[in-house]
Amino acid sequence: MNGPLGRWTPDMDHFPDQTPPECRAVEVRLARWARGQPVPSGLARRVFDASVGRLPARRLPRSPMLQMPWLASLPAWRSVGGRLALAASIALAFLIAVRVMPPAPFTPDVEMVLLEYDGGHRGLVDPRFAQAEHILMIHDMTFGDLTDDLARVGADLEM
Amino acid sequence: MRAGASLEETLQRAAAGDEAAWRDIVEAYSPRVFGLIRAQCGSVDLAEEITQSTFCTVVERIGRYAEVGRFESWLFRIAMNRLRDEMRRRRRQAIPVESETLVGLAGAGDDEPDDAGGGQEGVAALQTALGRLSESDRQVIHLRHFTGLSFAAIAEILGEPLGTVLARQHRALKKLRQHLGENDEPE
Repeated sequence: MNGPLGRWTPDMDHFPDQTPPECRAVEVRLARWARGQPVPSGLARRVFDASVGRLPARRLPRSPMLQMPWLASLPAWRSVGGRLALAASIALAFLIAVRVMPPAPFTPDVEMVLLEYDGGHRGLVDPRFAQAEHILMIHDMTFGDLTDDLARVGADLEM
Repeated sequence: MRAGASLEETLQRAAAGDEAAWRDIVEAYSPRVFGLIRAQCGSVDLAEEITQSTFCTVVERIGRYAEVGRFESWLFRIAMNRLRDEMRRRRRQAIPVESETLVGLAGAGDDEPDDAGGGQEGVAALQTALGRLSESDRQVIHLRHFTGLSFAAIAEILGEPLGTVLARQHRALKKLRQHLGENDEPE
């Protein structure tokens, strides 16, 4: 590395034992390809300007789907009966899913939060707000993500 | 990066509003974030947008971030999440995905340099071989080679055990070798 901020070199933290000897040529080729990827000129400057609010982040074009009342154009929504039938179908599907589907496992993110936060004990989360917030932030999760996921598996979040 | 300044110091200065420190961070990491996302999606424009979005997220939260040696994992996790969110949004809204993005997701991109071994043909062969990997295997290869992260950090980002990530890398390299031909040798 050329500095604490980490100019990457291909040998950094290499795990030679994990590369089958016969695959080293492939790895060299991958590394060469990755190093040779072009970076748009001025990228860092544009990213910096956008991040400090000097340049509005570019917006992807909006979906044409959002620009037209596509839902209202569906035949099922044109009549009251159609709407009722659709609502009943959704309710039925929900009931079947709740009764038939096994509880979903934690997502890896929530699993990691709980492991770090609570020593792996599910269902009881220690209300240390600062630490929780930091862990959620590290995992790029919102508190809502966590509570939703916990609610899905029936765990209580005592915060 | 200022000579002698540690990452922790630089992050602290950036969090305190020091633009020079923030610029150092962006200059050091944005090419790697861009490279990873571009390899994943194949679109230069989308990769640039997601790189911007990633750093906008970091700048919003950096004041609350305490460096404990996981900045890179945090940064690249945000980048991967932004890409995932965008792809999910496109699927949900049925936004037509640019053909270049589809090509990229299949393992081939545009503007490829010709120094990956064997010139343009070598690049094309490598891209095709990457495109034949499963998404999870390809993700490990991209994370490893475009970000230079340790396998432990990759495991953290993907939320997978370290052994799983190592096994994927091992398996992916073997498959790539198969797809590229048995006698592939580095130049």
